[in-house]
Amino acid sequence: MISEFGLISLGLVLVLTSLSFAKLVLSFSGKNLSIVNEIKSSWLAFFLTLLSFLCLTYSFIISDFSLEVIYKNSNSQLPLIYKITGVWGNHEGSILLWLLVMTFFGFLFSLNNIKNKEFKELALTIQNSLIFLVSLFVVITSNPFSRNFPPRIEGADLNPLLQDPGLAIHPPFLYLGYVGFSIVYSITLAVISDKKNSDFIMVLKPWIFISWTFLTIGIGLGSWWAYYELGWGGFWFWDPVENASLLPWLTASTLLHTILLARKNQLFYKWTVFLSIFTFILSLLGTFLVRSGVLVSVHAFANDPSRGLFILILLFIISLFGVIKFLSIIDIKNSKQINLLSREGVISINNIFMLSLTLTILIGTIYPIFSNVIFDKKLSVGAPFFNSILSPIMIPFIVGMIVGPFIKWGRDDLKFLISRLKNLIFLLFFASMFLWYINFGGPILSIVFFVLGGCLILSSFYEFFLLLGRTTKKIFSISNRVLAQILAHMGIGILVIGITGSSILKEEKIQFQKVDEIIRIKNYDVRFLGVKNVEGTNYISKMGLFEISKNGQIIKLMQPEKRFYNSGKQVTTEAAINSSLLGDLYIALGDVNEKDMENKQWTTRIWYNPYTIWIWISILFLAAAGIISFTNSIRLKK
Amino acid sequence: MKKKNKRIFNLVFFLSLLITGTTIIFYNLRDNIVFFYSPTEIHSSEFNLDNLIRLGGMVKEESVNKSQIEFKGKNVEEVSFVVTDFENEVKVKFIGILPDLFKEGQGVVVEGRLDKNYVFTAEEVLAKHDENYMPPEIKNIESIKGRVNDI
Repeated sequence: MISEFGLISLGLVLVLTSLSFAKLVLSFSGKNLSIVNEIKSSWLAFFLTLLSFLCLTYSFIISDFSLEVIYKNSNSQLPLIYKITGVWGNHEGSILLWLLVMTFFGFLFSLNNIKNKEFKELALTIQNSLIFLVSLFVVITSNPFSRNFPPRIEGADLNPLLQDPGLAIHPPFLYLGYVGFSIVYSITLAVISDKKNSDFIMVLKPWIFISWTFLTIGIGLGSWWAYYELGWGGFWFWDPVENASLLPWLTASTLLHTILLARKNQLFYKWTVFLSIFTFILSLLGTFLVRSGVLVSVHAFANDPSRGLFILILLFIISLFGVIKFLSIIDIKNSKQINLLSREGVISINNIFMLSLTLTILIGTIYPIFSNVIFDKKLSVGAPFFNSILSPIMIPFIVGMIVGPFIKWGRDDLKFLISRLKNLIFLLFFASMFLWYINFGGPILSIVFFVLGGCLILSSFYEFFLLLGRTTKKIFSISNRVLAQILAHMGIGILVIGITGSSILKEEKIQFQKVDEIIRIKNYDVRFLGVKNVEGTNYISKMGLFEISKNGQIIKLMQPEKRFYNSGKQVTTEAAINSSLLGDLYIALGDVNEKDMENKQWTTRIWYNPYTIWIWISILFLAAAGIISFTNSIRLKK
Repeated sequence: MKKKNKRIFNLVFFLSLLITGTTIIFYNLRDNIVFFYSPTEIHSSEFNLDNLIRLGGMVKEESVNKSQIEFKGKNVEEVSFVVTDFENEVKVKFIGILPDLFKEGQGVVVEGRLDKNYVFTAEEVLAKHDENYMPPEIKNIESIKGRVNDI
């Protein structure tokens, strides 16, 4: 009963937004369909989708196994929290969540007080048309309310890998980021179409900042989950599914820079329009790659290729619309010349770097599809490709981030710049020497990136203190925009150090470890004490006991597990991680072998991952920068 | 410099940058792509034994064997199994921890190198998150289609 209610609400959303879609299509041929009130439409669309989503959630909570989705992805023994997060732990539910987020952003935008009514109306028409396309996709290919026959009494269970708090909150954050760019797309297209656009940049800014912040946190959570839950000792594998989330993040990060200049300069205005459209296209492409399963991915779940085709059609329609609109504002003659040695100049160079980075990763990610379709060759592009291309691009890029913030707007002079930055150059020189000295003998790439990352953090601090010295009042008088920039750049510096440490300097040991045998890694002694059986709520676990000592003193007991879930046949590895600011000790247990248990030995895999914790800290810095920019842009608008 | 010349200079500069960039990308791509083969293709095609390749198919029933060997001075477990597409087979050796969802009778993709005796040394056994997930490459092997129920 409840589920029928959910399906009807969903159908109503489809019918309601189809009017907006018709209005949009008719407007191309000059006709005007003014019967639709877009503001009320977007409210209704949001509340109906929310209702539908709540109906699904309720059905999950009461374990209504007559619904196919719930039968496949839930179980009566499941803890309540995972019954709820199970709603988006499957294709159908997660697409419904995607739709919910999309209507939510439309709703929020409709609450905005914008003087230019026509512009607001048009933006909402476009957003509602997007909602129409996505809800059509949900109803036709991914109806979460479809029944099974005969009804089942017990469910198959939620995939055990998803029974984890990190992954439970990862999809909502990621979607708030991905789908947040749908409203950015709608606003941008409305601006191009509306001739007398008043101050679109101010309207657009908060949406970009908040979507970027959510996307950053979403990617961070996913990566963190992969690190502790999969037991592979790494946090990023250059898998297509991971790249799919990185691509819109890169273009959105570029957008954060161009938007600052879009009001003053035509060139940056065009960049902003282009990047706004492109970011949403990349978000859709990401959804296509994840949901269609065209590429072999370590993170893929069972999927249905017919859905891929539908998303591809959506992608095509939305891209085509965006590209046509964008081409209408292209006008090469009319752009102002930009001096390369100025803040505008550095930001342009930054744009070019970011875009090359995006295109490189894009080519590497989708090349296997082309090769399969065109040359009929099945292949994959490995991590070495991405690493070998990115390292050389990152070096000048980070140098640019160090120098960029100190260059003046408009026009700067090289001699004057150097004399101004004398102190900083000295400071960075000695810091580099010091970083080089303490990492002496290590791999050359790690030294280069430690020095660059360190210098970026230091120069951000320097910028901060420079501002502090210049203002007579206290910290509070530093502009929020500059503060966000400092935090974000500092975050990237920290991220570079974290990534360098945990990828290049990683140590790994894999062996048969007998009881009482001690394995030495870095300056830790890892002694294996044995394995015991532990019972969880819906699983049985084999828990390894490891005694960790450092310089002869016992510091910790670590307990990695192998969990065997009752309902399915699936096994998960729960790694044990001992984090410190200098590095993580990471232990994973190998698979169970009867013979080994008799011999009291076990395959163990032990890693030492230097500075990994700094990756997660850098995400906090970036998120803080995003939130500051967001609140600042809202405050300025008022 | 005249304005027109400057524009031509800029254009040439950016075009050359673009061409260099693309060349570097595709040159790197060529060196780092990993081709995928089914067991039948392994036996019927010729390739450089130094190259990293991927092999995919089904793990043959009752073919998984574990043994202890000496490797780099350490006592480690070596797993061997047979990958089949129901027409041809390839023996695979692997040192390391198998992914949680590795099972006999299920699809598997391994990455590594082949030796001249057609024994495959895997550097990595690709994991998956879902027991019902079948990588698209295995799904499309002709001789496997229709022989396995869930794909």
